[in-house]
Amino acid sequence: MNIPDPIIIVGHYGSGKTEFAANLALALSRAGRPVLAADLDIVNPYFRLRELREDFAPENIRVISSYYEDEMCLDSPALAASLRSCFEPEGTGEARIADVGGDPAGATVLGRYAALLRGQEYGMWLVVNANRPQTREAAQVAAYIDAIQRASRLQVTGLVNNTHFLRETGAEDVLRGDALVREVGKLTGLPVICTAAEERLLPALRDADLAGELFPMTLRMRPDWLDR
Amino acid sequence: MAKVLMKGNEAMAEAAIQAGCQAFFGYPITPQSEIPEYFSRELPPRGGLFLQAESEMAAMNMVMGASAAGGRVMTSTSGPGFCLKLEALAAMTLTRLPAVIVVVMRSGPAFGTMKAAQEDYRMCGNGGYRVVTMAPSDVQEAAAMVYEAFDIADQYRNPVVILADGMIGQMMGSVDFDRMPPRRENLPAKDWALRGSDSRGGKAQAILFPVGTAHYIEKNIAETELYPALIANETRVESIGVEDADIVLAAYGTASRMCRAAMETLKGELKLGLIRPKTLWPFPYEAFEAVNPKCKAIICPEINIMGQMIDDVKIAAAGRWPVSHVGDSRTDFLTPDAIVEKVRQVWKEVNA
Repeated sequence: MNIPDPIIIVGHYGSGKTEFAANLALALSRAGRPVLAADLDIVNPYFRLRELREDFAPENIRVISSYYEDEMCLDSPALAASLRSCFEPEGTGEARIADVGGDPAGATVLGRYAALLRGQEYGMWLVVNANRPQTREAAQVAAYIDAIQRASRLQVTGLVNNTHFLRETGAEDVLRGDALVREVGKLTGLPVICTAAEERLLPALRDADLAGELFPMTLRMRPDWLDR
Repeated sequence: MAKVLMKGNEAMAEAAIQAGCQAFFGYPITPQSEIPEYFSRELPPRGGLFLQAESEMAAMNMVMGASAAGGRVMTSTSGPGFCLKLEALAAMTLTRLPAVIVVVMRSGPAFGTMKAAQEDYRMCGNGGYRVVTMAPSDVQEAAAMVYEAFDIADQYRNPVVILADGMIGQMMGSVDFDRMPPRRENLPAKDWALRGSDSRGGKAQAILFPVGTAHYIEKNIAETELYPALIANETRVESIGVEDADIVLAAYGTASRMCRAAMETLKGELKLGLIRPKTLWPFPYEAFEAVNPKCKAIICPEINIMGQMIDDVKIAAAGRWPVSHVGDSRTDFLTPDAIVEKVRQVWKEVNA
């Protein structure tokens, strides 16, 4: 899977953007690269990439966030200056991932960095979950793409099928999402980059003809106890 | 609608619309803002009214007005906003006007922080009134409780509070709207509603605030008839393995999920039971009568520092078992590990 630098992850809230971004950071670091993972969500204080900062430090992943460095409780809609390094043309020597807040509201923060990215190569992938009521049909997803592009002043460059029901996900969910992202691809001309699925689903998906690469994930964001 | 993946806040809003909620008045506050957002998008095209008020207080007074006009109405907030709604809520219990109020708790006091918490337990019914207070512990149940709350409110002509915590509002979960509780039949007609004129089946005007002797009559009816009926008919609880438990955990909402995780961890070490109140008022005191008389202790995990529900648990325990609290640490909120540690510590103490 060719991962552009920087790679920006956007989508509907609840699509699993952050879970995907966390797993992408791990994949990059395991391929031997130091990683900068920027949490750009200033819409929602919960289930944020910043929660993994300590877990990720030994993995050679540096998590930076949009809050006052060590304050996990106070949230203000302000962007830390350090986040800019994720988009500067000279780079940081790290593989850079930006996890953006959900919906066009969350993507609005990217507008501030759009000028930095103009003329640079970047990737912006839209994470799609066909089980979310607002993104069940191709036309709905296309409308999201349009709205997110306008809010961010950047272009979506690829699609990620991340269709799931949390720990209840079955292979049939992934396949439903596959049909959806293929249709969105036809509608918009965007390539399907990968299909994200929990590792436990890989045997059931081995023979499936899925769009893009199969990207195995382990759930890092959702505590086990939420599903007892 | 088949099974879908929703945030708790979205699921509660959708359930309200499916229950026939006609108007929503609210004001943004984390961690419940997805509720007004959902209504603002979904309610007008489905024939309802969404209004973002100028403050929490204004929103609650609008709820009172729309309820007096006979509507099925709702508002939602978090602790700091709930404080501001209490005066109108109290007035609605005196004037006997139904409504549903969703409170998605965060860590206080006052503006506090955004982190999930269980700190508004004592705000649900202070000052001479009571309201049914439901406490969901997952997204499906949050939707189901909101759905049923509208019928409970209308049946008894009394507001109903859904006391969720930040985690319930913010977590994603699968929800199946084909699995909502049955709609209650034969709800009383709202012949008291101010519908503008007799021809529209209502009154044109009324003095809703009972004064003088009428005040005592209304309060007497509430406290001698309404509240006993609610206690008899609407108390809900889930109990697991309390009959032969060595230690019983008592917790609601997200803390009860952490209890389940702790119970799995401690399997084989000792027998743990769980009492999970699904209504915080009426509180399920009776459920504690089923606890093993040889049980050694009750532990009450809550997402707060000192414990709040623990007072009701102590009343229920009536001195038969020692009751202790476990909650937030100096650096974080309650965790399943903290519950495990507390259980081991108490178990050691009671066996010493």
